[in-house]
Amino acid sequence: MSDHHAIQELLPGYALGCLDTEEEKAVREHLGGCESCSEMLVSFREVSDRLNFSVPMAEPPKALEGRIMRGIDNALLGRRPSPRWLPQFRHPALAAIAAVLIVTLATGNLLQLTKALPVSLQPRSGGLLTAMLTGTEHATDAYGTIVLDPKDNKGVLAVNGLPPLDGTHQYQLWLIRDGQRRSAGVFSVDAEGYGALLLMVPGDFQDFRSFGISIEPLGGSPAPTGTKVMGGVL
Amino acid sequence: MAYSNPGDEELIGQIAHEKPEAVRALYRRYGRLIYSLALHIVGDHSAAEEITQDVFMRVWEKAGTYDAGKAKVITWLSRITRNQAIDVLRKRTRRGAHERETWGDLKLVADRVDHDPVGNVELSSQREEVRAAVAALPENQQRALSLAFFQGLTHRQIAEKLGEPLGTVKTRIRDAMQKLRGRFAGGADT
Repeated sequence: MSDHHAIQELLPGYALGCLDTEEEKAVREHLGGCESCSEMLVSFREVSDRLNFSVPMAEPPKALEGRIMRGIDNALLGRRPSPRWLPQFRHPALAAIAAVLIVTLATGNLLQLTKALPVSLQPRSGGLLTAMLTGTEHATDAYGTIVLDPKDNKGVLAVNGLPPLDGTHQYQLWLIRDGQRRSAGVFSVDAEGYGALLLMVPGDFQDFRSFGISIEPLGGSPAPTGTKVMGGVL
Repeated sequence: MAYSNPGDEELIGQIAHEKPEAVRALYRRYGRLIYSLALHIVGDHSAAEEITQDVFMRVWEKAGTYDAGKAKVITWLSRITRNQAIDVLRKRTRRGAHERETWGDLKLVADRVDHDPVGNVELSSQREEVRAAVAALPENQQRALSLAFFQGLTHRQIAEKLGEPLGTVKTRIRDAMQKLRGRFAGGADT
């Protein structure tokens, strides 16, 4: 079949993918040498694309977002799926800290945090440093903990009870000293209000005596611009 | 760092640079539409969830290949979704278990504004336009078009299913697409 008009009649079906094999082959061969039919096909493909928007809207389950993000995290780290409460950190020591931290947070037992940490991880002179964070009046249910290793300027932040934000905002962690604020990273929380962040802090971070978390535009800000939701002291 | 509401292409660029939070932002912007499209095609929530996850994993893997000159981001996402959903439908051993011959209720109901008010107002407007255009088609054209688009059936399969001559089905689908093309001509592109 090589008739130009006959091929044009088939273009709507070709755009929808509903031709039989022989017709599809004939159209494909014709398109290779016919600019007008190729342009016409583009217009029918645009119609087909718009039909994707015609479906009734349904609400996906709340947990779907978390599952997608865990899949992305695992793809990023090349690991097999793991419990959602365990942050995916490459550093095994930090993963261990985070595991204890998150279990403790999950049980709401902040007062037992120090006891829950293995002795080797408990704060001591020259050892790990911790800061408990609590919510401001804007996030009264939020609580969290930061654990820092001053030897290599790494740490973890784990929070619970923060409300999920829209797709244009994130939470940002700040190191605070004498009115000066330095960003320590951005993070989001899942539908249940849980979030974690691997920290790479500056070498002089111990001079920063307190922490704050504020709501900022997606990707973060050079300085706090939004509502402060949590704070804590090192 | 981004200090303002990133556009879709900027999010894809961030995803191509392995920024997971850009996937979250994209999901919050279009996840509902993707899930709805998958659900409408395959007809069950569990499969629709899997397809939605697969779509965003595909975006994560292929973001670097996205070409803004060929299609808008939402068009790219919805094409991936429809293709995956049709594949699932075709692999099912129990053909005909999910029968969807119509678009369902095409009455224009305003969409709920979600986390991204700007993006969803635009999307809602496009959806209203498309649904109004489809609602204006004769019912027999809607039915044939729905079987082609949402079930991935060929002209011949549609003719068998409806008990209609093959030529009639081809004409109905062609006429429906030409009417829709004429209605959309000069409107905002997807």
